[in-house]
Amino acid sequence: MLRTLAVSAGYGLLPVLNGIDLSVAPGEVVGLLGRNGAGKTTLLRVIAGALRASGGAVVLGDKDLTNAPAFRRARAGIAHVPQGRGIFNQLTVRQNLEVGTRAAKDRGDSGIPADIFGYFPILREREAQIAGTLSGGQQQMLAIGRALCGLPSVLLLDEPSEGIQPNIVQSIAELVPRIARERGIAIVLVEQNLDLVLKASDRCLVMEKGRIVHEGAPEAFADETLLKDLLAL
Amino acid sequence: MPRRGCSSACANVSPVRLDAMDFVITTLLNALTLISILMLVGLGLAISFGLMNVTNLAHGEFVTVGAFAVYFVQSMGGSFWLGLAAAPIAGAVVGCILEFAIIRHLYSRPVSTVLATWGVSLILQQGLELTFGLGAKPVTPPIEGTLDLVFTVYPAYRLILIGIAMLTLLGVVLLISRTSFGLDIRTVIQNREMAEGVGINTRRTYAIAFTFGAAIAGLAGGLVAPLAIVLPQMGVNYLANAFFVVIVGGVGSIGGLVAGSVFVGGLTSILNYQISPSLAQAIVLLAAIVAVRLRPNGLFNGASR
Repeated sequence: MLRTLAVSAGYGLLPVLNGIDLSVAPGEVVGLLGRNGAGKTTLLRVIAGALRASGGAVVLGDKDLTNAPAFRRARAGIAHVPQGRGIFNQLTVRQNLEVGTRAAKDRGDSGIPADIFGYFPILREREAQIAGTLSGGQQQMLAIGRALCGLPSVLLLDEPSEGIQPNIVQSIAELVPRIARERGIAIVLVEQNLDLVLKASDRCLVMEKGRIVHEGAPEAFADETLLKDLLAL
Repeated sequence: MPRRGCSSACANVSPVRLDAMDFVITTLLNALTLISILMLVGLGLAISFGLMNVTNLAHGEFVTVGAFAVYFVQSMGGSFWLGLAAAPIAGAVVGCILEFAIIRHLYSRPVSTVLATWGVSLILQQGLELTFGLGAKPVTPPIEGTLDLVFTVYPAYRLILIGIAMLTLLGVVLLISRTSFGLDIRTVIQNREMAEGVGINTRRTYAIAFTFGAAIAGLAGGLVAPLAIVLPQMGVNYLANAFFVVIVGGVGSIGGLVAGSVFVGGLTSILNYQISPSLAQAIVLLAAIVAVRLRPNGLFNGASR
């Protein structure tokens, strides 16, 4: 169980998050919606430890990770797939996956889990290829696959559909809930692509100006007037 | 610089051709000696300056410390080889303390790093002078004498130096390309934030990489000690040349390091034959500026990190 308690954060003097309470259960996919600048990406960065919280707490299970550096959080089981994917371009696909296992070091790392290739068969085919030469969609799969190599209990996905061809977006929309169920991972999904987020999520939150202003089941967001109201689409 | 004329071993070759051959090979070996040293000193600088963006003006002192380690061990009655083993350890100890006490607190303040490491450089120089006294320290090579290479006769120790330097470089290449720690280093270099995000302790990786670079510079100091004038200020020359190497060669690859060393070391050796060393140094600097102007990203560009 991942929880954030009244988390606030910002860049310099500019506050971005204003008391975010979030909790995500194992096996659950929570979609985060909101306009640009609402604080979605910042929230993921604060949970992952890339940015320090200025107030509140980030708790995983019974561990308070609020002051832990990013690598400790990764080792505790929080995996972050940032915007732009964060692939190590000059390493091979296999080396990227191998580096991903570093997060599982303290929890019985046993190499690259074989079932990763079940989700992403292309990664096995391209094992020896330099990751920077993969297509955007393949890089996204590698980024998610690498995150899973760390045997995480929480997976933070930031705009996985960005710059990716539609058929791969479709398969990611199917894979995300499957990964959550099969591996008991709590997934937070930040996404601009509404189809994807409504299809993959069990629950959706809407953020505005650093707060969570609305919460509901994906079906509830099918109502277009509500969407227009909340997201100004 | 060793310069030998005809030796009895090659009496059948015509004197003119022999002199030319002797000259070419001797110059080549002299260049290779300098290139070897520059590669080892430049390696640590490539790590700190090239990859971690730390301008460490005390890097030359790692060389000095390595040379003094050999002198100290020899003066206590130990062998050169024992001293050579102590040299990288001495470099590593100084490097580790420097990283822990100063550099890690200044990663986000590059100008402060320049000033702080310059200060450390002066303190180390004066400290060595206070401890060991004024004047050049004698270091004797493990092997006196020369080796007959058919076309020329060359000091045996220099050949050993070249061999050790090449083996060290090979070892570093293998360490970085084949080991798990090498993979961590490459990961941290490419994207520090993401490396942290996959569970790598990047602070620790930086510290180890920095210490490692200092150790290699210490080894270079130990190797060069029998050939150089061992003084507390000796590091300054190596610092300047190592910066040329890294900037000319290009940042982030072993290929760049080799290219930069060959450029700077090769040119210096060839010019040293013809003109005075200070003029040679000035011409090398000028050539370095031209090279950087023409190839701003380094002579060797686009190789894998």
